[in-house]
Amino acid sequence: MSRRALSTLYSGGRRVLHSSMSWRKIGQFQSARCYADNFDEEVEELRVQQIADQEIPPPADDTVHEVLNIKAFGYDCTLVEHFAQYTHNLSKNMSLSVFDSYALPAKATLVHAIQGTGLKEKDRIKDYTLTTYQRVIQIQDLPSKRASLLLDLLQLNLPEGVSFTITLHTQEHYKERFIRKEIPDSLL
Amino acid sequence: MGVCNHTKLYVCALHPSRGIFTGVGGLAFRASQSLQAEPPKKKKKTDPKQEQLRQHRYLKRLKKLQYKMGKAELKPVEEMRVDRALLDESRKRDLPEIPPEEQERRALLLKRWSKFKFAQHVAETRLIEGAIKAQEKALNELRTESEELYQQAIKTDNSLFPLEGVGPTHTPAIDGFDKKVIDGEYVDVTRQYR
Repeated sequence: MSRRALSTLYSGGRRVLHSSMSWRKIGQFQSARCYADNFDEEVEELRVQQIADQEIPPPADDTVHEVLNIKAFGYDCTLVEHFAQYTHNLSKNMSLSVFDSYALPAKATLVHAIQGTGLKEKDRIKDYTLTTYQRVIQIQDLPSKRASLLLDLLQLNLPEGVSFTITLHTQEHYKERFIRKEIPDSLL
Repeated sequence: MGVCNHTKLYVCALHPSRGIFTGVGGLAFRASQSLQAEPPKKKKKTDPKQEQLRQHRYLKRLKKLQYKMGKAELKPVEEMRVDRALLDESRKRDLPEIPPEEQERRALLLKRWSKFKFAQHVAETRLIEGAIKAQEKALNELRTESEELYQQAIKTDNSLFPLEGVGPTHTPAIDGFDKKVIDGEYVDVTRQYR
């Protein structure tokens, strides 16, 4: 059980933080009624750095799509980068408005083979780290007439080993790009 | 004569130095539960208003800290960053001079390449324009047929997204790869920025 869960258990189900105490002292929490109902949730929220919501423009009317995220990803950085540049140029050519274009941090995947202990050191398969690079192009107000044409062109011009996904842009996508800083316990 | 609370034995007080037990029964030592913390304190009566004030002040302090933290930083993209060691001035080399024939050859090659790419671009633009023209023509015909159907055709298709597209591979699918596959796992070891 986590420390937080344990301390909640000891104090009879309710955790109250007093300014003179720190989170680490278990067993000193007194069960008292919370007079602000969402005090606990608010404290939890405020411990992490708050990121302001992005202003995502809604679609102009019902014939155009919302802000779309075209994410190109693959193991080869050059190809991914060039494909992202290609989509950007293609959208400009088709007179679509590009909202934003950015890079997401690369994902590292550890490939681990489960092998028996009988193999010698030199015969074993070593662990390897694969990096997946990602680029995002955001398109605003894509008319639904042009959608199928754009998708066909993207699919036809995909280089070897590169894939893409198209999703609707959300606040979570925006906030994922930021570092989630927490207030250190010493300042609390 | 006193009575020891825990064991309820009689201890002779007249001869404290001797500590003679005159009662029956063995020495039944019992250890209490190990109190790793302090023994439980008396519950203080917390005034509701005080409590609320304290909570309010705490939240206010947290919000002030938040403001002091400043703007949030974006996660750095490692591939965009250049190693500091590579930017060293001493690493710069003097390149040899290129003879004029080589320069000419390179210039002509560049011209041919840009011509090729431009032709590609023009072909693509023509393709796009042709497709758009044909689509507009079809939509206009539909409009003359029925306005309602036209309006519905123009509307967005929400089931289109999320969409995935996968690029071609170097070789076709390898036969019998499923049986040769080694038992293992993929672990996400991306650096978490906290």
